[in-house]
Amino acid sequence: MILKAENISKKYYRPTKNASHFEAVKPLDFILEEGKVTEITGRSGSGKSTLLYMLAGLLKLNSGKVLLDDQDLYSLTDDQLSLLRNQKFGVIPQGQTGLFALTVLENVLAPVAIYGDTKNYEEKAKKLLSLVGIENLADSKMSELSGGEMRRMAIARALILDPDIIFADEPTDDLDDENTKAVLALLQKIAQSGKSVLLVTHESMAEQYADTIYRMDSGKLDKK
Amino acid sequence: MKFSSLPVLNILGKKSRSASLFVFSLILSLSIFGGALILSSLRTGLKSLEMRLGADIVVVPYEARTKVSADTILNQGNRTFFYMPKSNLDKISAIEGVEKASPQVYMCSMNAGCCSVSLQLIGFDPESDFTIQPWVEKSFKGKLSDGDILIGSKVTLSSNRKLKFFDREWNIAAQLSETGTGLDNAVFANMNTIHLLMEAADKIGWSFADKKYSDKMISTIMVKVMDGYDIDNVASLIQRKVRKTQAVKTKSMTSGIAQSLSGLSKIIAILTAIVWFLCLLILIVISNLIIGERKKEFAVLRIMGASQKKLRHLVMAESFVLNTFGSLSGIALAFLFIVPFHNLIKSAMGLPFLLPSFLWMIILVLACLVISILTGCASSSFAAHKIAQIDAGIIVREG
Repeated sequence: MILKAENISKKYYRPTKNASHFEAVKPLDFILEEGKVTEITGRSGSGKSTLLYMLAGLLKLNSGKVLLDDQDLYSLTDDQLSLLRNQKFGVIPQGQTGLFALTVLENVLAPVAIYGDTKNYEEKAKKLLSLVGIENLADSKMSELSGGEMRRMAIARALILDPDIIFADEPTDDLDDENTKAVLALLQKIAQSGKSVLLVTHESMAEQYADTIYRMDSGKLDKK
Repeated sequence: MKFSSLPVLNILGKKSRSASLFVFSLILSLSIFGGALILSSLRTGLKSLEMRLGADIVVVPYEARTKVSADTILNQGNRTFFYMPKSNLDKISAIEGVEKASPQVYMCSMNAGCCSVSLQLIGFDPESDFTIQPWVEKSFKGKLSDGDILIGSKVTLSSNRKLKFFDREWNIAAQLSETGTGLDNAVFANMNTIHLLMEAADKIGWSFADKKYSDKMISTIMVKVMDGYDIDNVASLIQRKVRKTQAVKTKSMTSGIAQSLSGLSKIIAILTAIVWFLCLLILIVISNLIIGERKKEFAVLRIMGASQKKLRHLVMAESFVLNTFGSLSGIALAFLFIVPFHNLIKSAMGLPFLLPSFLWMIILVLACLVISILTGCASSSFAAHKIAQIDAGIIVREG
């Protein structure tokens, strides 16, 4: 599964002395390679996360196309794009993104519940929690988790439906060194199994696990 | 776990947030159903009063004309007695335009040791009566024997089924159904029994009518006017031909009550509408505040692949569940406030007040439930539409 971006850009309305718009992502082309970990690094505010969400079909483009195996994502209806995102993409968002009404296990199963029944996925969910080291917190509520534990829950949740493409936005924030290495190693393993992994991070350790590295600066993307 | 269980999980997961919507939904349905039930009970009471009156004209002795109004015997049940010659009955029956005429005799028991309780006693002629008899037949199918009495719904039914009046016990043949009027506090008997009561009263020193003439005296004559005849004209004829009487049109008795009822109905309707509007506004504000607070939660669901349609359904489903439980609770509370205390409400309002039939109450419950739920869901619909349009990427980025 190849994800390609052609001449995509993103502007926000933010009037300043010199301009009426702020260019978060300047027009660029991009290919996310299969079976590899692709890292995008850069300063805070450089446009890395914006680019990630554009590629994941979650931010409307101001120009260009995002193609998944030649299918223009943004030409799909909302129902079609949402189903595709559920089945093909696993997004690990930045920050604390737990659903507070649900337990940890229920959070991990949430992507399954959107279009189906979670009955047959409970064992897998428990295995994923074990993989990220929080199997003992399965019945805990979000309010009982630390930031790092919630991040690991989000990783398990992104993997529950065995997606073809993983979008990870700062997945190692709030994690200690040991867990950071574990998560990066896991993402590397997933890529090696044939999936595509897009990793947005400013974690220096991540370079050791990445196959391709890009640097983003003021909306411009350059390959390192 | 299915997506369809998420609304309930969300509601239970944040109880304090859910409580605010629940409470206003409860207030909304409490006011709508409470208002509707009170209005309905007032209308049923008035209808019952009109049916109990039954007659077009009530003929009374002239000197008793101020004692007969819907506010006295029929509504408040004040104890009173007055008499005129029984011969008036034949005179009135012969008047052109009179279809039926039936006598009634009034007396009252005493608030003393001779009597179980102080009540209005009404004698009627089961053969010719057309006002009380239809009501009696609902609870008593047999022939009312001499010495037997019928009691209104508010008169306490003793375990031995007897009441003492004037140092003598009288057998209770039946207890009549509720009318929502003062007749619920009255006792009814046939003419022979009323004369026996008068004799018993006379024996212990209470004289209602001269003993010599007691069986030749009546209190009122209920008149039904023939179709095609003007009631005013017949009433005037009666007064001209039967001296020392007053022909009171029953419509004039109830028109005052009907006017009061109309005024009260308007007030209740306006108050209910105000409460409904305020609750709607508050629900809209709360819904929007809650949705604003949950933007990130919905953005995460979008990231996981929930479509805009699913998000809208989720918000509306939560609103539906909360509003249904809130509405049911409000309706239950209205029942608890009104049904057990309907006599107090009747006394406070001074108007006929009769709870509607079970079937009509079910219809009211369903109608109020639908209105409350629809109002609650409508208040969430704008928020649901707004949240479905969120740019998930922006919201999650901004944290």
